[in-house]
Amino acid sequence: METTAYFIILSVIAVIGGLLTITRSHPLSATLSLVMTLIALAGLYALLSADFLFVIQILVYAGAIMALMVFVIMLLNVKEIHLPPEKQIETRVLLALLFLSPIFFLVQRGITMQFGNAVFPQTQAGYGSIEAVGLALYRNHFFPFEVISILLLVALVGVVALAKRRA
Amino acid sequence: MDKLLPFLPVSLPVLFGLIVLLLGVFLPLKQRYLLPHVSLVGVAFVALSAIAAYKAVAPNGEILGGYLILDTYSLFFSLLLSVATFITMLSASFYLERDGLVKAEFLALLFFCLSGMLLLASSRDLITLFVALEIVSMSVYVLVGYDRDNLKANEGAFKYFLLGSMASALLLYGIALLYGSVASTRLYQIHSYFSTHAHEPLAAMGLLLVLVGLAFKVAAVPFHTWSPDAYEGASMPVTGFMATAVKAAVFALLIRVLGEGFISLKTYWVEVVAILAVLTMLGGNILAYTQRNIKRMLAYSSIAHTGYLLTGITALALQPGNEAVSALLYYLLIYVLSSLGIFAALTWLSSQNESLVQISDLAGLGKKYPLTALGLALLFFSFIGIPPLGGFFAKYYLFLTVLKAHQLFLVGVAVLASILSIVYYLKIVMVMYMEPLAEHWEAPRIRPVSLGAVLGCCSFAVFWAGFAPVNFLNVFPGLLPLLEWLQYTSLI
Repeated sequence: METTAYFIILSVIAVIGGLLTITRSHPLSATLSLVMTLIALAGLYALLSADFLFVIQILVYAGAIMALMVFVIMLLNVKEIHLPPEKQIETRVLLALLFLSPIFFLVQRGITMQFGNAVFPQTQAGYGSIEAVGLALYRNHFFPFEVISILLLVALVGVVALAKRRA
Repeated sequence: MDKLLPFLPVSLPVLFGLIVLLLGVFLPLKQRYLLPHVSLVGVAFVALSAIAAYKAVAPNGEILGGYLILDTYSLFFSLLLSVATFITMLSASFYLERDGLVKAEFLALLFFCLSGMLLLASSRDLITLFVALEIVSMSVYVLVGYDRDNLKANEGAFKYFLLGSMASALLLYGIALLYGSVASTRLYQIHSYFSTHAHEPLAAMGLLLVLVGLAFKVAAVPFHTWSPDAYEGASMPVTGFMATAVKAAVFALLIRVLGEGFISLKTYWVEVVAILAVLTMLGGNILAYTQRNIKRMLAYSSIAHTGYLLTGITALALQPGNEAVSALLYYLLIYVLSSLGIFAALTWLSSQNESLVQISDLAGLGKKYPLTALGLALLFFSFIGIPPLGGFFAKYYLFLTVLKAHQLFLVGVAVLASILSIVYYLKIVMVMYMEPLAEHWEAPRIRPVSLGAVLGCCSFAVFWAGFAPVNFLNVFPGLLPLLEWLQYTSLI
């Protein structure tokens, strides 16, 4: 019961943060709303007893990546008047939500149909620890994990190719 | 060495990409013209390593407990994708020289993309497939926008990037929901789980999301909106690469995922794919008719071909056995060969200026360059499906398998769409032969033998495929299942 209450509070915060991210016109407020969502997500991970993921989410996403984004926005020094006008943003968001509502409904129905009466098992000791995550990454899924290095290489080379000053 | 051999096709392109990057830095400026040559040799080695890896793990083909499988199917795609990358690099070397762009990164990105595509063709695990798809998409985003000073290229790349990321997000969400049901991401485990368990609503949702994500990636109507802009913005060799190699690689993934992983969920996806196929065939062909820009026209024509291929995928579900797979592979082979020839010729024709992209710019080609015009005309006729050419047999086998799967309506729409396509393909041929040379026509500054040879080989292959389909298939060992199927059909 207590967990459900926490879950509802955290998800409401996450959804509100997401909505603010796409509706704020100034990039800085949008970014800070995104931080709100990410921290709420970290809380949700903690509820699932994924403690390592919780720490990483705070450190990497809410910490490092968002700090980088805030830096970039501050370096660009965007003023409110330079921003392109966004007309009727509320109507657009409402229409999008209306359009997506059947999908929300379907997801909700699917979840209640599948898990409505399910009894969830207790997690074992050590679940979600660094050890468990490490075993999953380096033993069960080591091949895709290695392949990600190619993806990072592509991103690295691609950024240099696009941003490098041409001779 | 034996243990490493199966991984060579995936890792060798990465190695060559890094070598090209380093050479691009350390070679003196005068010797940088060597880079494309090194890359071409590299791609040849990748193709050889694919054959060697296939031989090393045959007959079973599974490695890493099912993460990868090297069967004839993946060998076929490895060779096809290597050929497409080879020809792209060949034409790209002329384009990069003209625009004075840096060669090393371009070639390296093509290599990384090849590595991702080979992984797409041989992987059986949803996470690996997703990462491989991201490698391919990410390199193509950059390749589309490679000419940074070109506004059109920027627009195309950015649209492609935004919509592609959205598609990836949907795909990943779908994979997560499927994982929630099955507790595994391996395709064969998904298959065996759903053939014994009841179908769960969340799995159906996941399947639908995966389908939408993949439909984005193959540019099926109504998820096609990025494709004409990206095709138009990209340079001619990259457009050719997207229309051939990337499309073939995503189809390799689609056929494997739907045919192997989700085959026991087929009641959910057959109708969805059939609707997508009808929309894609009609939409692609009708929109292609209104285009004046040849790249946009080819973009819509490639959407139309996606539609034909999607009809084949419905046959995959309704008919057990490999027949539909063979028909799909044969169609892809002919489609990729024809497109490669067309794009090689267009790269050469636009080697003077990239603005030569209107259909009217091809006027008078038949008199000025009769051989090029003949090759192009042959390839366009093959796209239409004129009987003695390869395109006809490809369509015939494909539609026949769909018909055998009792999809009469789909075949009707496909034939109707093929008839519609005659109009815009013939328009190009008519412009080439019947209209006088345009006044502002600038002759291409160079006459590269290699691009001419590509066009010649492709036209000859398409021609020959029509006259002697069986002999043509003998050349490619990966097509053995296809050959067996062809003999089987001739028995009836």
